[in-house]
Parts: sequence; C-alpha cells; structure tokens
Amino acid sequence: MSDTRETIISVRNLKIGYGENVILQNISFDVRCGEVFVILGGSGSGKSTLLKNMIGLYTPLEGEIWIEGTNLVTAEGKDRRDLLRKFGVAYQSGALFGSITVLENVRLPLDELTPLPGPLKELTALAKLKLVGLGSSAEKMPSELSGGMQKRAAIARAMALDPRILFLDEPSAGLDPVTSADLDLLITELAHQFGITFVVVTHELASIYKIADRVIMLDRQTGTIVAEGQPAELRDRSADPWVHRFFNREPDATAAGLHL
Amino acid sequence: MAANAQRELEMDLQFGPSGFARLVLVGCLNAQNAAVSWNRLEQEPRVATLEKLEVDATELGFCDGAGLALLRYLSMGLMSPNATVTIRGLEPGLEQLFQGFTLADYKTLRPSPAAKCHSIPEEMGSGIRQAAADLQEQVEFLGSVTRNLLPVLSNRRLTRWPEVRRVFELAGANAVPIVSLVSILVGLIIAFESAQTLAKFGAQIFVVNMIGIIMVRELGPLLAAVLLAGRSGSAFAAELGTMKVNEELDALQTFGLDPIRFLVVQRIIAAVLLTPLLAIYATFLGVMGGALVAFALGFPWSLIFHQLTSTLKLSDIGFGLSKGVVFGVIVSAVGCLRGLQTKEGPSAVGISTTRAVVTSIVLIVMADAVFSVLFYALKL
Repeated sequence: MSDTRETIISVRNLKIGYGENVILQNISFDVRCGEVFVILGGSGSGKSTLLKNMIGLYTPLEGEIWIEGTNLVTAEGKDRRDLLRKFGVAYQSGALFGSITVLENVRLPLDELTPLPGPLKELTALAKLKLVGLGSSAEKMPSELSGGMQKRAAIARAMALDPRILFLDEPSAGLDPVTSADLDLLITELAHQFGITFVVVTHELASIYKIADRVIMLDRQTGTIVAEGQPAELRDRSADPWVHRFFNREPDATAAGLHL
Repeated sequence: MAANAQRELEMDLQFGPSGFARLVLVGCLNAQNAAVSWNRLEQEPRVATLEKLEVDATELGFCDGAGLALLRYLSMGLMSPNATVTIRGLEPGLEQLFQGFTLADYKTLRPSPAAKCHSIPEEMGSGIRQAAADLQEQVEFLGSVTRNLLPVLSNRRLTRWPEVRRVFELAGANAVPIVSLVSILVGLIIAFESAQTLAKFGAQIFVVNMIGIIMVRELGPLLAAVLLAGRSGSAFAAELGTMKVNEELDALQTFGLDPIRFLVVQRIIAAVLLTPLLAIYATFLGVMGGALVAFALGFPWSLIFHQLTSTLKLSDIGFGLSKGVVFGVIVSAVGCLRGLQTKEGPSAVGISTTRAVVTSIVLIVMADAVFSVLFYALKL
C-alpha cells in the first residue's frame, strides 16, 4: 500500500563521519509521504549521527539528501532556510528552553518566523499543546514536567509551524512502558490523521512494532544498511544473524566478553 | 492538510442587512495569509458590531494550524463579540481538527495575565529572609569545611594531592601571565600619576616609598585576590555547579563520600598555598613597575633600592602575606559554596558563577578593611 505514496525524503549514497573516521557509508533509502520510517541500530551504530546529517546539523562527507525536491547538502542561503522550516525536530532530551514556559516554548517559532498577531499565535500554540495532551501544563516551566511530558512538549514545539516531516530522536528512551505507549499512539495518530511523515530513531523493540511502517537497520561493524522492510518481516525472515538477534532480543555473548 | 501549490488566498467579505456578513475564503490559509486576513478584519470597523457572521470555507484548499487559529478566533466571537458565527464547508479532516479545540478549552488553558506585583515591604521581607538563609548556609558551610579540614590535614591519605596539584597549576601557575601584566601596569600607572603631583613639592623620589607601601601592604594581595576570584573562584563555582546539575555530587554522596572533603577541601588547601605566592609575585611586579617610573624620572637604581629598604619593614611583608592567606580562603570557599548551592535549570551555573565572583570581591574588600583596622590597633 505504501508503494503508491510519493517520496518525500530521498537519501543517496551517503557517507558520514568525522574527518578520517567514516561511520556510515553507502547509505541510500527513500522515505514516503505520511509513513512512519524508523532508523534502527545498536548502540554506537551511528543512528543519531545519521539523523543529525538529515536535519542539516552535520554535513555528510559524500552523498545527497533530497527533502521535498531540494538537496539539503548543497542548499545555501534562503533555499536552505526555507528547507529547514519544512521539518520539525524533537530531540532526545526534549531540548526545551528552560528559562521560558512550555507555552512560550511552543510559541517561540511562531513569534520568530511568522507575521501572526499575538492572539493567533497563542491560539495556535495552545491547540498544539492540547493535541499532544499537554493543554493544562501550558504555564509550567519545562523543569516541572516529567520526562514523557517534556518529549510531548518537544513534539508540540516541533509541530508549531505545521511541518510535513517530523524527526524524532529516541522518543521513548527513558520512559515507562505506559508513557512510551502513549507516545507511540500520538505518533501513529499524527501520522495517520494529519499525514505527517515521521523519521524516528529508536531501538525500543516494543514501539517499533507499534509505530513503524518501514525500518532500516544500521550495522556498526560495516557501517552500512543491513536490512530494510517492515518490522515483522525482518523479525521473521531476515537471514542476517545480527538482525535476527536484535529482533529476538538474543544476547551476543562473545561480544559481551562472556564465553558461555 | 495536503500541501497546495497555490499560495494565494482570496478573501471576500460581504456585508448584508441587519448586521449580517459573509466571509468567503478561497485558496491557501497559511500563517502568512492568516496574518494578512487578520489585519484586514481588524481594520474593518463594521466587523466588531456584527450580529451574524458566516464563514464559507468550501473553497479552502489548504489550511494550517495558524489558519485554523484564525477560524477559531472568529468562531469564538473574539473579533465580533455580539455575533453568532458559523463556519461551514470545512473538509472533514479539518473539521475534526477544528472541533478539537473549543472556546471552553481556550478559556481554561489560556495562561492567566501577568503575575501580580509584590508590595515594597513584601519585597524587603523576602529579601531579608533570603539574606538570613544565605548567611545561615554560609555559616553551616564554614563549619562543615572546618570539620573536614582537620582530619584531612592530620591524615595525608585523606587528601587527594593530585587534585591539589591540578588546582594549584590551573589557578596559580596559569594565572602568572595575567597577574604579571595587571600588577606591573597598576604599579606603573600609580607611580606615574602620583609623580606629577609630588613633583610640585620637589618630592618625586618619594614615589618609590609610596608605591612600596601601597603595593606591599594593600594592592599586591588585593590584586592577586581579585584576579584569583575572577579566574578561579568563578571556575570553582562553574565546575562544582555543573557537577551538581549532572548529579555527580549525588553520586559521590551515595558512595558515602562527603563532597566537602572530596572536592572543596582540596581547592581550599591549594588556594591557601598559592594566594600568598601570587600576592608576593604581584607585589614584586607592582613595585618594579613603580621603580621603572622612578628610574625613567632619572633616579639611579641604588637610590630607589635604598628608599625601598628604608621604608619597608619585615612586618609589612608579613602583613601582606597574611592577607594573601585569608583572601585565598575567601575566594576558594565562596567559589565552592556557590557551586554547591547551584539550583536546577540552564541558567543556574551562570548565576552561581556570578554570585561567586561578586561575593568574593565584596568579602575581600571587607576583610581588607578589617585588616587595616586590626593592624592599626596592633600598631604594626
């Protein structure tokens, strides 16, 4: 079913690293409009680095990242600014600005980047907060929110300008299963109801099955994509031992130094 | 909310009889267009007095969150308080989103207007209470440091000497260039300015005596301490503050280690050892600066040296050194205390650092005043 949807992000032959140290190479994949696309991988496999390249914080060593028809790697000036506004990012720790309230956090992009009058900004921000279930916490400071609420607030802030793409870095890390499941539900609702495309970096198996339309899996050893497809399909059919272990939560005893 | 290639909005506002109006929106209602529409509606005086407003959104191709906010604002009657407003023709997806945030939501979720101002007595009261609590904390901290200092000094194994060495290098050796520059310049400036006045009385040679006494008894230790407060007191506060924010202090406590013994005592020991040295160094360079001016005025080095030795007593040097020790304790203890008092939030470490420097300098000057009175009373 997803094959008919148009491609919104297209990554081609990406090579990522710091100077001489290449972390990922030959990375090519397409993200389709309105799907929840998950980037998987073990600790240290370069998931977050890949995400930071895709949102323009780092520049890849080689390759292209096409977002809605513009190459982020080569875009400059106004093109780049326009492109950056097409997506929202919610960081792992929430990255809410601690000195202003939750509502002001969500209002900030509206204040800085739109010509809207005050009451409309307030209405827009309040509606976003209500959408993520945080309407009654509008006046609180970020430090007064729990971890899960901070991540919701970060999603609300990322959605302030109605981007078509949302990047989420480890949304369920450090959350209890119920809060994590709430967040999964929010992601799938936003994707299905509003057609927002999600690119999610995670390694929480439970949420992958709930939210992911498609996943790619990165391998730390080779620095490439080892598997691509629907999560259930990878779990049941993948021949790669690492992918098999990952999806079935089996330990890699030799890697852990345990000679069992 | 599919994207629409068309980015224009056509807005048609028709007024009918008996306070009726019809607003037709065609095209794209994004943030830019919502702002323009808002301005147009605001500037139309008849809108505020409407009794019935009908918004036709049938031809709306695209509407984002800001566009919905405009529709909500209209439908809540916030622009035309007496009107009954109907919005029709929204596509089902948008309609559902639109219904998701009602006037009741707006009223309950809206932040209350700015917090009320406190009265002057209230402000004064809370200020005094804060100052008293601060004083209590300082006394407690002093007690805690003293309690920890004695066992550490009596048992070499309890002191982390590598840490003392590290602080000694960072706060002492690395501060030498800046202390050199500032002291020599201050010596030069004071000597130069006073030489012009003293010349009127034919007493230019006494520039050397004056700079000797000022530097040895007052400015040498003071300069060293102020620079130490700016460079290292602030660093102590930032270092300990960051450790507190990162829960590193909690980690120490759960090992049963007292942060005061583990972190604070080493810094105080290092500062007590290095401040007198820095003070001597600053004094020497300050005097050299003054002597350079005297030399430039034509006095020979032998005369300058004679003037200095005849003016300065050994007790003056001891006076300066004892100040250095006390200033060292003040700067390091205040820096550490402010670091440990760091609260949560991104600005907390910055606040602690500022407080460390300000408190240190105030206490240094106060201690200097006490020293002056003390030494006058002791006739030193």
